[in-house]
Amino acid sequence: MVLGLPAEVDRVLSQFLCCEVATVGRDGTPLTWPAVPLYLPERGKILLTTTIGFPVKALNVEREPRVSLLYSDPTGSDLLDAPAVLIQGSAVVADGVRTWGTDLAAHWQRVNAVQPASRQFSRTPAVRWFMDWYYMRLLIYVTPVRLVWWPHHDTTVAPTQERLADVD
Amino acid sequence: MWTDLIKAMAGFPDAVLTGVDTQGFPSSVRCRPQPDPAIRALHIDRAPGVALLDGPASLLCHSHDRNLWRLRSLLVRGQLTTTGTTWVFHPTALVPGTGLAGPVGDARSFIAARQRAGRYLARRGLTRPKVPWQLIRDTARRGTSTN
Repeated sequence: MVLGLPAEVDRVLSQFLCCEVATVGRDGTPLTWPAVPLYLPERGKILLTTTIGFPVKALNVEREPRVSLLYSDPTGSDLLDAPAVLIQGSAVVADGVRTWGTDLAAHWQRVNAVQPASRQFSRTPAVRWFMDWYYMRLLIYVTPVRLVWWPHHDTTVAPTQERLADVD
Repeated sequence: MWTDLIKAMAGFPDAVLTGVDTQGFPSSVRCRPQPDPAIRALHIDRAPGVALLDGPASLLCHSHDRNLWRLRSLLVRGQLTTTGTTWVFHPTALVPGTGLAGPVGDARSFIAARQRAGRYLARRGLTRPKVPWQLIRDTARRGTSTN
């Protein structure tokens, strides 16, 4: 499925450095943390990854696949007057702990581009020993099912909404 | 907790409120919570067109610079109730994220993450995977934008 999103929304998904990812915890509380998403429009998905040092996001998805991604912080995106965008979707955690692969390589390329200082985590042998867990990753693929966006980032007016896919 | 919460949130201009909608999906909106010391809760103007169920919810405060560094984050767990045109968020727990406890706090967080990673592997009977450092470093050296 190719995502045919409005151009202003497509720019946000391509250029925002991070988004706020919400998963539902064991007790039903939605828990939200920032993450660097990788937009895969040609596959109709968004890739999130998390280290096994902070696996809660993936464990939550394995129990409850309904997630949301809010793109509401344009810092560093070079976009002016960007909308705030909410994607709700169904997420799947890929099997196994990954340290490399085509999608993970693309993820690291994106991280290096938007967060250059994170390269220090692989710089010296001592740091590599201490930080190896950071590169042991769980891959989470999100299939968007509903798009909500606020033009001009104005949440005082009702957003525009669009259903992208049926919920399983 | 209330005093710590107000002190921590004062460092952020706004927050992300997340609740659960009628379809069972998490739903988030950026907002400006206003403390109400009398009831030790936060008032948030309801965003038109955003339907959040009363019940478990959270507030995330976070910031970063243009290079996604100088990270700071804080999660607040709580309960949401709807009153007219206002959401009322009743905080129940603070979950510190990155950058609020200084370099020592971040180092402790990394040590804890390293230990959690070991437990994650051990519980699943997995050996510690090798990280392909040369590939990682090659990617870091390229470091070109993927926009």
